[in-house]
Amino acid sequence: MPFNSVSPVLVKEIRQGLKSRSFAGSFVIIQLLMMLCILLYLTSLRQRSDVSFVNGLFWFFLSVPLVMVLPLRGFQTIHEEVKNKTLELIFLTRLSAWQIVFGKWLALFVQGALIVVAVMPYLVLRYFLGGINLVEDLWALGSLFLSFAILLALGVGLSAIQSRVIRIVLIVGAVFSLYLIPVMMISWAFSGGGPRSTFMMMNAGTIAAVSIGLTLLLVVFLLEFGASLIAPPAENHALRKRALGILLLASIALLALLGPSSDIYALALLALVPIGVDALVESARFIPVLYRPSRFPPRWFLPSLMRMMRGLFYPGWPSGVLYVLALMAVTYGVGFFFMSSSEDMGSAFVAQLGALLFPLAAILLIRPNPSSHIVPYLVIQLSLVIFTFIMYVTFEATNMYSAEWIAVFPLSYLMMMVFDHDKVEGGFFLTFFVTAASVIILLVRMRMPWTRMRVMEKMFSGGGVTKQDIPSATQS
Amino acid sequence: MSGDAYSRPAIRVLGLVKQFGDLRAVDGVSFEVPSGQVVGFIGANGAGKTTTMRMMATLEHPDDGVIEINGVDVVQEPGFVRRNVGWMPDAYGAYDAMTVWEYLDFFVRAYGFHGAQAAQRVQEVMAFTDLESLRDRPMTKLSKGMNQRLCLARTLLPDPGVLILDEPAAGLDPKARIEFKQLVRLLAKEGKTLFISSHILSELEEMCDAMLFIDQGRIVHHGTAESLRQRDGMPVLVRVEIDGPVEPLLQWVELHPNMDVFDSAKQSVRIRVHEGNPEHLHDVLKALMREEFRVTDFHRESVKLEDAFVDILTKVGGEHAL
Repeated sequence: MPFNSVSPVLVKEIRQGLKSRSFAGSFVIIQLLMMLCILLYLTSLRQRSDVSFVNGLFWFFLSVPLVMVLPLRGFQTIHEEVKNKTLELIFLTRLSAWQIVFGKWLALFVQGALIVVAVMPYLVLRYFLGGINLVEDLWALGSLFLSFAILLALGVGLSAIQSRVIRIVLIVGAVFSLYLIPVMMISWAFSGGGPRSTFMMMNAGTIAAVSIGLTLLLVVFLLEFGASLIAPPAENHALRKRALGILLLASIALLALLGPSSDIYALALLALVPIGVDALVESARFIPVLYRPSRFPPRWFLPSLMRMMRGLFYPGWPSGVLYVLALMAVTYGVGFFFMSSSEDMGSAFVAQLGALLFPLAAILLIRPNPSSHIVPYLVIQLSLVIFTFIMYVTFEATNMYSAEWIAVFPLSYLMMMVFDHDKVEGGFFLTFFVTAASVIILLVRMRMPWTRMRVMEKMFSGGGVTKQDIPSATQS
Repeated sequence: MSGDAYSRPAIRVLGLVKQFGDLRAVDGVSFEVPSGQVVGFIGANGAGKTTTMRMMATLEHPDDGVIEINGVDVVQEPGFVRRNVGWMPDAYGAYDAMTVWEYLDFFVRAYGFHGAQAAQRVQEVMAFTDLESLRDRPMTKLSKGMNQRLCLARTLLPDPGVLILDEPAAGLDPKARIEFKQLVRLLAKEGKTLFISSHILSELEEMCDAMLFIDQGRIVHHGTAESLRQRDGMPVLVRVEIDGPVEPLLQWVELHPNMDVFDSAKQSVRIRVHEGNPEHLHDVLKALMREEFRVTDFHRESVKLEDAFVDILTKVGGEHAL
């Protein structure tokens, strides 16, 4: 049995995937398109015309299944299991949520690899016919593969969200951001800074290693996000996701050894967004088994500090708020300490903190005990992004010099700081007020869940506490 | 095995509560199922059957109460419980692009079987559920009955001691129902504990050692079918045939508060007598004779389980309303 040591989900998904019309169709169509490319290539060479257009066509055809068809299939994959009522059946086996999500991602990745292997002869043939730079082609292929891995992880991770509308909006937003961020980086690079300039200072091997390392971390984080959405409530995925978030930030910090720290710092601030959002959208769960102390770290090692640290890794928004506060304090603290502190950095800290916390505070103000708030949180954030874009275009069209009132939304203030700082120069105090109010609301709202968590912790420490002592969610 | 393991119930549920928003779907349910018994779980749609079973299968988290499978708490040790419980939901959970063998092969390996052991286990369950001839058939080409057998085969793969089956015979044709009952009997013979839900009582009556009736999230009766029929105060149906028109008899019944007309024919009336004990029936017959009805036949009909269930629901509904 050749598949014995392979994940059952991987085998199942490959069996299903290879029988699917989208894979078979992509496989046949890409062969035909590659043949067309070679014919066009031969014609261009015979006419001694520029082959760059045909090269572009070749990469475009190859990228369609990798960055569109397969990620879109990934985007449906977990949702289909839920719709067919098969996901629960899998959970009753020995497979974990992570094994399910990772197996699905890997199966689609293997199918992408099969398509790439199938076009390899055409790649070699182009090289044989002449007129192309093999090193450039290999770099392009590597970049395409890394983008494919990230987009696939994004699709599979988000496919665990049950609302189709939210999934579509999120994927459009995420793809838009993935294309927007490199454009911003390039513009930074041309203006004399930006992470791209840092990359330009590295040698090829380091770039490859850094890119692969960051891609791997991002892929694992996105898949873990998907796993946490489908996992049984008694599993703690917050621990792994939040540890991954810290690891991602630490890896970015290590990059500072290789290039200008200000550019790397911008990357760290960007990374804080998905890490923070993930921690804040988790539902609070009061299942005693989640609060059972683990064997690591050992109980004798600084018990008070360890107890406090453990509190940052419990699933749910209450610990998520503390985690985000701690992470942002450390990240901005490092910035203040190592780099020349500026007024902008203080404004950015307040605005970014407010942008992350304000939607949660608004939700909890209306409903103190939401069973799930991921959809309203994301709807508020996306609405604010669209609203700010519309207002920015309106301000530009009407030549409005000042739009301080928009700073009542910290996210809008943050975006306007990037677009046109002058328009919101006097609005900082509005953002500061809203951010401070959000923090206070969240601290007040988390008092009860926090007490419940502590009682559950005591159940395991032998303090004579039983299940009956856990305060009910409806108690105020 | 220790003596404790023998005396321990296979399923123990105590004070189980589950709330969905404002709806209390399960409201303090408690019961025990001894090892090796086949127990029917009966209730109308929305009574709380599936929610209770899902909590037993670790798929829902109880808001309160305790569930133990073979003495192990499902909340504290969900992994252990999942290995020892077979859950068959009312939906088949099929994959379009898979054959019967591929489906079972996926699940057997997901349950942790490998190599020859996995192949042997798939072969065993296919033989037990009579699926061998359908081995290479796509799941989309299976009938409802075949799908149900495949679903049972999947449930049996890890060889669980406790099987929880949610509406297993719903939508099956009579032949498939008979086949399914035979499979349940075979499983019971193997010593498995079966917990089967349905809202079709006659179907369960033949298979089950005991029955649990649930209504509005509460257990309203736990016992055998016979114990439900012969409850104190259980109404009985009496068929009275008379020589002459039935109208006077219908009027006479209307005048008595402890009985009512169930239905009537040309020369006979079926009367529901609310207190069905022998003394009371004797009094009814004496009263009929006293009124000079020319009674040619008077006999008590056996109570249908459905009627007994409806009666218990009516009484419990009245208590709830109070």
